Amino acid sequence: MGRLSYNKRACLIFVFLFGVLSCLTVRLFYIQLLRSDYLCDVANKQHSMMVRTEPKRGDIYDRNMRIFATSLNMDSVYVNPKRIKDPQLTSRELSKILDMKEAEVLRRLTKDASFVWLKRKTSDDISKEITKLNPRAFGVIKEPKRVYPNGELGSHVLGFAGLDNVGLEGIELVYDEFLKGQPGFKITKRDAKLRELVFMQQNFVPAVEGHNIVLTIDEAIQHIVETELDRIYEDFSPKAATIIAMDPRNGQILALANRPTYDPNIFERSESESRRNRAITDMYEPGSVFKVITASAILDLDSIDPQEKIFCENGAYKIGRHTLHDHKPHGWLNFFEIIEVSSNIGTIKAAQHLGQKNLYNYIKTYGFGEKTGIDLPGEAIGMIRKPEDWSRLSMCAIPMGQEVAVTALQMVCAVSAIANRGVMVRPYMVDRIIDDKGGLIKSFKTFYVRRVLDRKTAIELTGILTGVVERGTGKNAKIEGYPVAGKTGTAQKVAKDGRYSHSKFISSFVGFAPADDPLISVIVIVDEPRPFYYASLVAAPAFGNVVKESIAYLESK
Amino acid sequence: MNLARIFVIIALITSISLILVHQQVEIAKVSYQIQHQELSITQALDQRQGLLYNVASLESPQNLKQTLLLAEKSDFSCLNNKKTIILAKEKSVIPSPTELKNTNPFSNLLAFLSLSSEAEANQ
Repeated sequence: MGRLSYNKRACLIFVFLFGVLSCLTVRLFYIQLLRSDYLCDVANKQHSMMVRTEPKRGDIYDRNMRIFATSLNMDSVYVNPKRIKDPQLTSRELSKILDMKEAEVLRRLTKDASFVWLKRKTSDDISKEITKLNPRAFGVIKEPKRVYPNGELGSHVLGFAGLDNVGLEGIELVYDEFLKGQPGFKITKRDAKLRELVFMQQNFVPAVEGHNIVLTIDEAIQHIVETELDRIYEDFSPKAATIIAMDPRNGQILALANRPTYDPNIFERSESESRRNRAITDMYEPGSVFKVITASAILDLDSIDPQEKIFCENGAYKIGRHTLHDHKPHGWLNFFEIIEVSSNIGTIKAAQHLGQKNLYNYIKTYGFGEKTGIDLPGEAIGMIRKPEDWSRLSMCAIPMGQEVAVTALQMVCAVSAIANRGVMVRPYMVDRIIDDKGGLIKSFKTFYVRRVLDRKTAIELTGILTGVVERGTGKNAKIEGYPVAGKTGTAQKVAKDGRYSHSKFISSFVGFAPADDPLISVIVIVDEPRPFYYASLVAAPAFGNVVKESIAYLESK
Repeated sequence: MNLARIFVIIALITSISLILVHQQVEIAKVSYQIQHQELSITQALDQRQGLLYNVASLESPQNLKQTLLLAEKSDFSCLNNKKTIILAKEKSVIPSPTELKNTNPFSNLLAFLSLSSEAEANQ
């Protein structure tokens, strides 16, 4: 019995073991052969990781390699809400650290997700303080943040980049392709603690760093311009103001600024009105500064003898049912004197010798009604109607800068052409693009657009414009030691009823210096200055200040 | 093949395998160290970039204007043709001859031995 039972037990154990082994074999067969692909895939996903390496966005420098925009790696704090035990208490503590509303923090802490951004691109101290609260729940990821060390200085030129480091305005937008670089990646293995195993790297494509941009802007001149705009704002409380400084010989923009302005570091807190680059997006009726264009056409075509006297009707000239006025009554004046004292009546009478078509052709030759081609976004083309659309009064309005709309940049480019002895150049903002080691990627050269008037005419016109500053309406733009050429303009704004306002004006001054060998051309536009509105009192002194300080700086270099 | 030889081969294979595993572990450790050092370098570079940014911000004309010109108590002013620079405002800025005396005992000893007297400017 005992013996039989022993055999029986041995047999049972054998059968049991055989059964178990068979099961294991079948399971092994199933795992190794039938499920192998799936399980390999799962294991690979667990062990392998793909790390995206973000490129550093290129920096922006001024012409002297002073930094204007760069990127800093900042801490972005995330939270795993599932690991927060007491969301109420944590949100209270976090709201103090983050300076955020408690309800907003609580909303994020109670989300049904394992990854929620808490605060992106914040300081080192804040991220350390947060992670100290609960190291298992909070984590930190480094993210690059665009920063502008000069704050508001040159903000309308630079523009800004958004949270995801994509250029949204200005140079940041136009040259985004060069600045952003190309992201890289690496495929590697990770351990149980999710740490990267560098030696098991399978594939590595390094990120290509963004290129750096060197502007034509000069930080010092930009500062001079912005300081002057601040002074204008303080003295005349205008609605807006713009100054552009340009090198008339090559088209390089040395400074460009507008008021109101904004700080690109905190662009999201600014109003869209402040972010608008008025220098290129806003059109305005130029008023008397446009007489420069009319005068150049008259002189270039020899339409009148400049020495010939024209009667300026003692300040009031009836045209049809309208009466044209001068701001001061004048009698007999020659053409030089007409421009010097900015007589509307004299200009209109002289312009009648030109004819509509000639005037229109010259306006178009100066580039009005089309983009200058500057490398900034949102440039307006201005407005100039074709002669067939002109009214009978147009020839009495356009020569003195009415019925046309121009941008500040178009106007300064036109006057720069006169300064450049009749040759028009395209304005540009970027001098060159370099890589992170300083190697040249692309350089931008002066582009000569066309000759707009004869060299002799340009010199003659420069003489007239110098007379404006020496003896005429632009006396306040005069600077010691240098001859200045320029023209004032006090334009009435069009009111809501379509008529010219008698209380709202645009005061402007455009010119260049030194008149005999120009280094800089500048336009100053002040929209609705108060209490004074005459360009001779508002824009001309500002022009003088900018030019005086800029020339002193340029000659000291 | 006798049993002893089998044991030797097994031992050899095991040893080689252990060495290989040990090598892998050591490589992993070194890679962690490299990663740690890389992180330190990255952090240092980030800090450097941050400091350069701070310097650029402090040097920016906007900041200089705000901190120096607009500060209420500051007597800093930009130079123009109507202003003069006062180099030393207070008398105490110019050290008196007694303050200029050399405190080095060895030099004093040499001065004592020399026959010439020190030139002093009359105030």
